[in-house]
Amino acid sequence: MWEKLQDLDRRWIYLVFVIALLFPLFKPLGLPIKVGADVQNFYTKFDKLPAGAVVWLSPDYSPGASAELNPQFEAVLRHCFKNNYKLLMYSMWEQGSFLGRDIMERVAKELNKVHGVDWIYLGWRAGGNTVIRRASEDLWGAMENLDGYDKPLADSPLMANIRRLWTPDVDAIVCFSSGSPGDGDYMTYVTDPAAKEAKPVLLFTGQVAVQAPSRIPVIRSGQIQGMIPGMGGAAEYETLNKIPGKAAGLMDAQSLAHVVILAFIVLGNIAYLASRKK
Amino acid sequence: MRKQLPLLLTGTAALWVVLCQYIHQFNALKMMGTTDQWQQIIVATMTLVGAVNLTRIHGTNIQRRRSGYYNSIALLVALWAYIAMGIYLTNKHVTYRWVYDATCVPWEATMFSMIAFFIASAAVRTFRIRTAEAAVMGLVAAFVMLGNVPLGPVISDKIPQLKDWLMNIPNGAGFRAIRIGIYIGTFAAAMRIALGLERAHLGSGAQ
Repeated sequence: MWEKLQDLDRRWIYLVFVIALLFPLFKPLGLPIKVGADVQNFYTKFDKLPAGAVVWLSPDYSPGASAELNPQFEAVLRHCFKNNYKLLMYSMWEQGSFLGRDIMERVAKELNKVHGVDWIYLGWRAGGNTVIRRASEDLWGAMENLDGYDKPLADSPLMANIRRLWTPDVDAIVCFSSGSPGDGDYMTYVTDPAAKEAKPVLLFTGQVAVQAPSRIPVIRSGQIQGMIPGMGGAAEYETLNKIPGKAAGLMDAQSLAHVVILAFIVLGNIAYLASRKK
Repeated sequence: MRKQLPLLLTGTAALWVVLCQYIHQFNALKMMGTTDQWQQIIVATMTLVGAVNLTRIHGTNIQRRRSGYYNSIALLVALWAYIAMGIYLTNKHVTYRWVYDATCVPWEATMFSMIAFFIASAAVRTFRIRTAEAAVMGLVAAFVMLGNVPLGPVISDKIPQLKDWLMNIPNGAGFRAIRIGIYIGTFAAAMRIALGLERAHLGSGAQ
């Protein structure tokens, strides 16, 4: 029996995994979501920005990370609109600009926020981190004087006083990152040098879960103000926001999936030990 | 001259960036904007070079009927049809947007979602606790996995606390060391390229 378990057809494993993922979607377990220190720290600091603060949202990811980062992006976006922050959205990833734009358009429409007044979509430009470096000196030049819909930036009342991706024009950056370019580039080119100024641009980040552990040192050093890790982080943020979203509903499925993987590891090792004794 | 000119350009560009980015007096002059624009143009051009290179490689696959050549046909049709659509309709057009939303988004999301199934399969088939180190890794993984989902605190309040400690202290220390190593390595590699000691980027035979 133990040998059989060790050579178990992987399709059985897939089946158990599918059931574990689907079951809570049809019959939610209703597990309470407890807010962790990282997300609480992010929320508290971000919430302290004054009304009218200019926030640069940067969805730097592709569809592969959208399951984790889309809910984070939407939760932060709703928080921004709730606090009447003014938003600029630009992505260093072409695909991220599409993903972010779709969420932005939907939420803005729902909350009656006006493009060009409350928020502006800057799209994507070729050049990766070069664009944000240039934007730190001349935002309009880096965007070729056009927004993401090819409309002149001069037509946007929001952009009248925003000339640079730099303090005091921009108050904070939130980078949702699943790789490079991402939050590291903002640290290098925008937020770190600005720390010498009286009022530095604050950098916040949302990370895919697999990348979150690597950001601990820069959060502890203060280079990044706060982090939302993975879909769990998004669910915690939705809880703090008091606006239920997608992530909170999916956490039951993730809980069961983790338990199934752990159970498989335990079972596999019991089988290994038992077959070795024989 | 085929070697000297690229080396001279590399060295000059490196010196320019170091002066403008790291020397305060040069940084204050805000001179890098123009060269940033050049870099944007170069990156955009390189994308086309990449597409041409891909066409050459997969064109050869098709021409010689190598195994799986039909995949190369699919790749080239998708690549050039989407480029043509982008040029003709522009990337703001609703059809261009629909093609992307209906293909790339679900495909890429599916590819990444499948990783979870491979992890589950690998967990039962390959992760064996044969040594004390593997036992420690298994235990740490269990606490971090449980601490990251709502089930952890339901089992015990100590699980998220332990997870936070593991992430902040041992993991934080480990990643600091890794990052410092990476930065020193990157700096050394960049210096070698800037000074012309590393010539692999110039192509074969440049060494």
